Amino acid sequence: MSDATTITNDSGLIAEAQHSFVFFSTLLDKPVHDANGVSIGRLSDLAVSVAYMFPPVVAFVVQRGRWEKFALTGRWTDVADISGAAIRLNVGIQSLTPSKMDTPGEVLLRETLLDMQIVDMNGAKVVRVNDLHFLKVGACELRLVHVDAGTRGLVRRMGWEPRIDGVLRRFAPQARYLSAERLIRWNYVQPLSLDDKAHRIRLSVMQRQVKELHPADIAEILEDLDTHERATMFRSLDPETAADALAEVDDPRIQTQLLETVSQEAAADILEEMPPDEAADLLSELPPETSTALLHKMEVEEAEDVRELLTYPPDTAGGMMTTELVSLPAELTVEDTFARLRSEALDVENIYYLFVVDSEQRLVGVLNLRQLIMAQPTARLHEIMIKDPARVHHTDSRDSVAEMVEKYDLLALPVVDDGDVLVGMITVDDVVSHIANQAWKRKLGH
Amino acid sequence: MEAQAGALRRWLPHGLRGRLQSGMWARIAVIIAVIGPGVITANVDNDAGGITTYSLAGAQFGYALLWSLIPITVALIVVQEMCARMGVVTGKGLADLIREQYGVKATFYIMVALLFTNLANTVAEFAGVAAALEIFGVSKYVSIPISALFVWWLVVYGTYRRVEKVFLIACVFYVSYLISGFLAQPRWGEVVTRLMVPEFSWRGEYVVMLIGLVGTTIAPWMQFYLQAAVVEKGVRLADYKYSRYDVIVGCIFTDVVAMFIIVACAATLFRNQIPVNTAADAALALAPLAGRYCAGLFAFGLFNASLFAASVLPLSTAYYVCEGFGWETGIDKRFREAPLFFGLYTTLIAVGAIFILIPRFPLLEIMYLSQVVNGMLLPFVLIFMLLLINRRDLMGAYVNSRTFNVIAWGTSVTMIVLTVAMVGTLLLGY
Repeated sequence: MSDATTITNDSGLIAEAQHSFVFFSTLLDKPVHDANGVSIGRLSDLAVSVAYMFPPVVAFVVQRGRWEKFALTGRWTDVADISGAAIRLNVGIQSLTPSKMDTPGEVLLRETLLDMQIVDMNGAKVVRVNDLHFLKVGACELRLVHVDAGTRGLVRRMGWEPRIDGVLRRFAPQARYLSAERLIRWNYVQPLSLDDKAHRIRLSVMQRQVKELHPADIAEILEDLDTHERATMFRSLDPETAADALAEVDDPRIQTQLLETVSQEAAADILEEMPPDEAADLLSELPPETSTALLHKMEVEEAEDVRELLTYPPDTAGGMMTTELVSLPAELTVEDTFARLRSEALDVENIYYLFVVDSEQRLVGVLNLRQLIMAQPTARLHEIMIKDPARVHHTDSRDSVAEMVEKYDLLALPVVDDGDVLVGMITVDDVVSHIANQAWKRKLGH
Repeated sequence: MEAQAGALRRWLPHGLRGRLQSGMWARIAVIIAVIGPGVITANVDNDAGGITTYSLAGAQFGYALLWSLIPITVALIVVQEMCARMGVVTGKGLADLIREQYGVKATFYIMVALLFTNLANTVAEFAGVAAALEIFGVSKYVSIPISALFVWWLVVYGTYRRVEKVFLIACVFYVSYLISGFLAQPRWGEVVTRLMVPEFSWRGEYVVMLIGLVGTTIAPWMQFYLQAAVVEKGVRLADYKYSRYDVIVGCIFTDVVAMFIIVACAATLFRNQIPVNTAADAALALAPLAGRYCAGLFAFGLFNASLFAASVLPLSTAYYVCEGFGWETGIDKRFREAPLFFGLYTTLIAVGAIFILIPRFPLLEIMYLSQVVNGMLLPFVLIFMLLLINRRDLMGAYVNSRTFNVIAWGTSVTMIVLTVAMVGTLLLGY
């Protein structure tokens, strides 16, 4: 630690505008002396006010007694000096409150943050807090600026930093350890163990940041967390973000677990935001009573799509497909088609392929967006479409779907029923993981 | 567990799915989903070292130590149940909890001790693999590299679910000991009586063997593995009772297997006063007495148990060391995402396997040392567990009840005293 402020005068004041950094571990367990220099005990915790961007230290806890331990709490304004071998107060022991403090909006650092897991929003990772890093302004004003998640923090906590640094400087001056600090700025830190009151204050800031993360990153963070913390984080997401993240979670076990941590109303909202095929997959993992209840709570229209998909076995084309697609009558002109796409296509996952149907909803052709753009505005769809396109029946197996997609290089594949009626489409992303698995197996020679 | 209900439903023909609505099916699905950690942990307890101890107990003392299996089972259940409960209630592993509640220093020393004992244990497991396969005529220079690679591959390219399935299958193979027990044709009447009626002798070797049996029962790493596995399973508080069954069934099955090992050796080797020093010796000596199949099954059991433990030990070690220090972990991760986790895992396996391949490596000394460190570490782990499980801020209403606390402290103190005694006997060179 670069502790520049070692010169103090009698009043305990230090020349102003001196900034330096202090690690929490160097303050913990330091002896605490009262105004007369009498030892009171050892510093066991510090409290910060989380309402600020960089929370100031507002209170401290002293542990007194060797065997019969008890705690005393004091306000940070009572502290005169922290730079010496002992922390000096400018009051006597009688000004401290017996017992540990519990003030709303204030958070005890050792109890709730040190050694706990946090989310590093910048790196989108779950890490453990090894140390805390304060900016020291003036004599003893401390502000929490960083969380230390690096190996140096661990070494420092063990009390080995000077020795290990010395050895390394001597024998391996280029070692990455010497320069690599893993400090995470406080405003990128999402604590997971704070109590509700303190939590809510930070939540609004966090939600903004979480929204900026890619859903796949949020999903990975969720998967890395412990069960309870996972629930806390998931509950803090808005339905749209939650839906995106949930769709990215790979493990169906964790998916259902997450959905069970929110109320049924919230779960229904989340399901509505998901593509119907993903929602159906998820619902099919739930016990029948729960999935029925959730379907009831969903908007009728969304629930209908999902319910229809649920009737198909999951390992068939029907179970893989989505019912959100663009189907157009063969007689439509290109111009009208554009108009229709503008009004309808917002919710559809993939509009690169458009399906053309006859009056009975039977699949008669397919065309892609490029063909549509290149065509004359007055042309009718049946004149420009590819007739008799590749299709799968809803009972076809996952393998045959994968084969079709691979063989024809398709981005989306229409799914039909016995009467050749278009019932859905399978987009390439639903097939990719399956193909990847197959390819991997082939490579291993299975 | 809900997911499992869904998965179960998918297995059924379409027409049958609706009938799953009934509560019974849902409950079965929950049980299937929750079972695993307890059964696996308890079975891994019967590793190379455990099987050796049981074989020797049977060969040297016949049925005289059978009775001890019942109190041992109770102690095992008491300790394991606390871990499972902590895992379900806090949603955190034991390494996590020690780190969060007792800080870096306590975690560091416990982890270093665990790392050392588990490395030594891994070496012992590979020694078991080598010994078992040598009975079938496979050289250790072939068997060890292949099994080490298999173990490594299983985790690096596997997912948690797949790995757990492989582990559960390995548990089934312990049945081979039950069959070899029957093939040894013991007098069952006598077995039952000697199991139920405690007897005691102050003979030095008897006491040492008794302590050895207890000492091999509860190893420090098991508590960490069980709790982490329960957390990984995501067992809900509402389903905790099933997790408890998981633990109880696992512990009982484990000690039934132990009983059959003792019985098989007692009915043959003890009766004919054939001296053996290792589990592999026992398997070889069984052939002329109980037949080729009995001996083959015995050796296969040793191979299965050793390979199983050789997969679980490095994995769980890498897991909780990384957890305690806050490094990325997870079977489902890629090597690049969790380099320390996979690095540690790979090192443990590689070092464990290489030691076996060094000619005239002091294997017995290493195994002996690992037992000593295991025994010295256990008191700390048990005391941390008892302190943690009685913390109301962590466990809420699920802290130990007064009665349970008496049993748990009593068990732990007995275990600690006996384990310290075992360390003593080992150090004195019995």
